[in-house]
Amino acid sequence: MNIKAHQICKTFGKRPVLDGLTLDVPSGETVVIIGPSGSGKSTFLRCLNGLQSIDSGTIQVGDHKLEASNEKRFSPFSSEIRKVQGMIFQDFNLFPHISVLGNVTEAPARVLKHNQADARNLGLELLKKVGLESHANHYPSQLSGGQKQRVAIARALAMKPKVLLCDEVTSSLDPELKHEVLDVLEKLKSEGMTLLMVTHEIGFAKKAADKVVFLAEGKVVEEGPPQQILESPENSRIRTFISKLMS
Amino acid sequence: MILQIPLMLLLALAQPPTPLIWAADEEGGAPYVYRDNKLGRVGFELDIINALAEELKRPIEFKQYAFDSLIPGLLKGDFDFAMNGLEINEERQEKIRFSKPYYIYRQQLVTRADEKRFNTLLGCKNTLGAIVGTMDGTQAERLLNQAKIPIRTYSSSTEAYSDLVSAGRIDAVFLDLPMAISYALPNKRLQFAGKPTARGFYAIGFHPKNETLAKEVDAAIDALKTNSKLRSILVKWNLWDECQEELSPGFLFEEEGRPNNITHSILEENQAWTINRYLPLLLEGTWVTIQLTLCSFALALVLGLPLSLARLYGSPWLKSLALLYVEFFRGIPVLLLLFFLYFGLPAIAESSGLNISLALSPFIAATLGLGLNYAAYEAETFRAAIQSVPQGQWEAAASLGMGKSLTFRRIIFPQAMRIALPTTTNDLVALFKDTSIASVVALVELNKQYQILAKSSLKFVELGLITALLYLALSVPLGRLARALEKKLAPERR
Ligand SMILES: Nc1ncnc2c1ncn2[C@@H]1O[C@H](COP(=O)(O)OP(=O)(O)OP(=O)(O)O)[C@@H](O)[C@H]1O
Ligand SMILES: [Mg+2]
Repeated sequence: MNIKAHQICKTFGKRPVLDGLTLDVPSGETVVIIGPSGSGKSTFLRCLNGLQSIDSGTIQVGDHKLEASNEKRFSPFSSEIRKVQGMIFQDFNLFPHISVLGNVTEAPARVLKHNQADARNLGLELLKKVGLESHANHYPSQLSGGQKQRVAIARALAMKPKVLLCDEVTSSLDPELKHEVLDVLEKLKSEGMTLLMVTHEIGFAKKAADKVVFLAEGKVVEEGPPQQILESPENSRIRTFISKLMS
Repeated sequence: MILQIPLMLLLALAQPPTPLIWAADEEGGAPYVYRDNKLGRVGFELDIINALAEELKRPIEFKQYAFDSLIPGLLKGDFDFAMNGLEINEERQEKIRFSKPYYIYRQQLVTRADEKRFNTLLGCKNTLGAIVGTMDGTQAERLLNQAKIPIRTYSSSTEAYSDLVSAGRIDAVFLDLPMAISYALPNKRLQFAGKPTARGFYAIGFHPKNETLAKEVDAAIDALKTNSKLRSILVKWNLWDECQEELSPGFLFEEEGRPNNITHSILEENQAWTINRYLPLLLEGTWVTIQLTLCSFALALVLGLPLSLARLYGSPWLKSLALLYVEFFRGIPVLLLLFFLYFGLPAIAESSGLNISLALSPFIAATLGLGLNYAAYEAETFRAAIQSVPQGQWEAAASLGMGKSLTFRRIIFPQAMRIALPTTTNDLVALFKDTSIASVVALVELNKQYQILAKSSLKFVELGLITALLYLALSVPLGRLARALEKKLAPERR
């Protein structure tokens, strides 16, 4: 399922954070967004997921559309887009009072009204997929960061999304734990999942991305295949940005 | 014609039964039946009369009669019965028929607060020139005479006490405990000397030939004892003490030789103080305190949650309404609220001509007052707890397609409750101690029970320590439980 974002504008107060951003993610591809802090990467993903309103522009995910709306009347709970799109956050946001399995089965059981046994089977299957079936009855606080993030992925997958939005999902993990999360994402890509990721894992981007997008001041500065953007970008800002990342 | 007969029957039924005439002396003084400047005729005996009238389903009319003429007047047939702190004694029993007793009186010696020479009746007797004031025709007067103590008698308790405190023409007053409680207890210039002594019974006097009425009234008195109305009247008038336990139906009076043998006890100062006697009563009070705590806290939680939700998610109108509630009930003293609920509401019902009775029972009034007050605090605790659940939890749930109310119920609320738990439990401990305030609405909980027992036994220190221990025995484990719960829930936290 593809994502089409056209001329997205978003201001906080008077400050434009997204400034006519246009981006396509073709079905089944993996697109990586990089860019300096404060450039609007998270805001963009949150707008795509309907967690935040947009002032103007259009968003289309498959057949689902998001229109511009008034911020005051906006509710993050009304979006239909969640039926096809999952999101994973930098700080996991697992539900601390529910077991690992409960975290995964909560939405299918309550929203999709799966019966208990079905939800449980689905949950265990997904936990197996992320390598955590043995931790089903643990609580989030008993897990390492990498394990938490894998539970978060399993939780998102339980709603059978066609598209996954990942906002710096490895940034708060120790280096040796990052690969266990990235491995899961690569596996998902190979199964045909459309991925839109904000990440500064250059190695991962080179290996797995179909397209890399450089974002600055709420606009796409340059986009293209990973080799082009990461190794020989036209814009000198990107070069400095990447050399800083590598050092 | 056929219709007329039932109609006349109805009319006859609608006629109120002829009222009974009750005689007493308003000038005898508080707290029996007396004139209050503002309230008019009041008194614990008037309250009992009203309760009896209700029980007998017959109106009772008051008739003013000088105290020392009550018995002649009764025999003359001027009224149906006399009730005015009439002590049962052998001489009177020969002349009139006494009802079952409604109060167990004792005598209390009262001196000026600065009295150094004596603090017992015996000491008074041995003090040269000391004169004791009392009232005409009372048991106290007889006792003083028997003990050969110089006395001066008055026709009202007010006169006796004011002569002692301001005029100083007498050195002590020896009168029934109710009078001492009414006049001497609130007066800083007077003090209770020694313990109350020489117990006896107040009962209603009937003409010996009026056995039918006497039996009816006996049954009514029994009923008031059984349904505790008598007890609440005595509590209201601060007259309840552990002696009154003996009033329970069937306990006494039928037993021969027990009550009236009082002369020998007059100079006996030491009533055995045993824990066996007081502990059951204090435990009873503790149980009332526990019930009051649980009921009012349940009310506070049940009201507090919707209030916090209204504050957070309500329409602007609802929001300000909830805020008004919180500010109002946090801003007024609980004491005021309890007084209003207990004494104010019935007054409102009466003056507005409403046909419903708003006279709440002490327990209900106390539960309501404390519950309404604590609901304001719980609402704020819940609000803060709900707000302190990280925003990311809402977003994670939303991104999974969960709706707002589902998210609240399944994700936010359970976490908020864990956050609120320590504060809420602390509030519970505070409420537990605050229940002592309910004594102002005549509820005999632990603190009130202590006051009653201490006043009658004068064992303020010993009983105080036991009472404190009872409070601690509950509040300390409660605090521990809070901490244990907190720990138990902790592993699930981040
Ligand atoms: N809810 C909000 N209200 C006001 N300002 C906001 C809000 N969310 C984000 N911003 C501002 O918008 C700008 C873009 O924020 P955003 O989080 O999208 O940046 P980012 O590219 O994700 O940065 P980083 O790499 O540090 O995560 C920042 O300056 C931020 O302060
Ligand atoms: Mg960000």
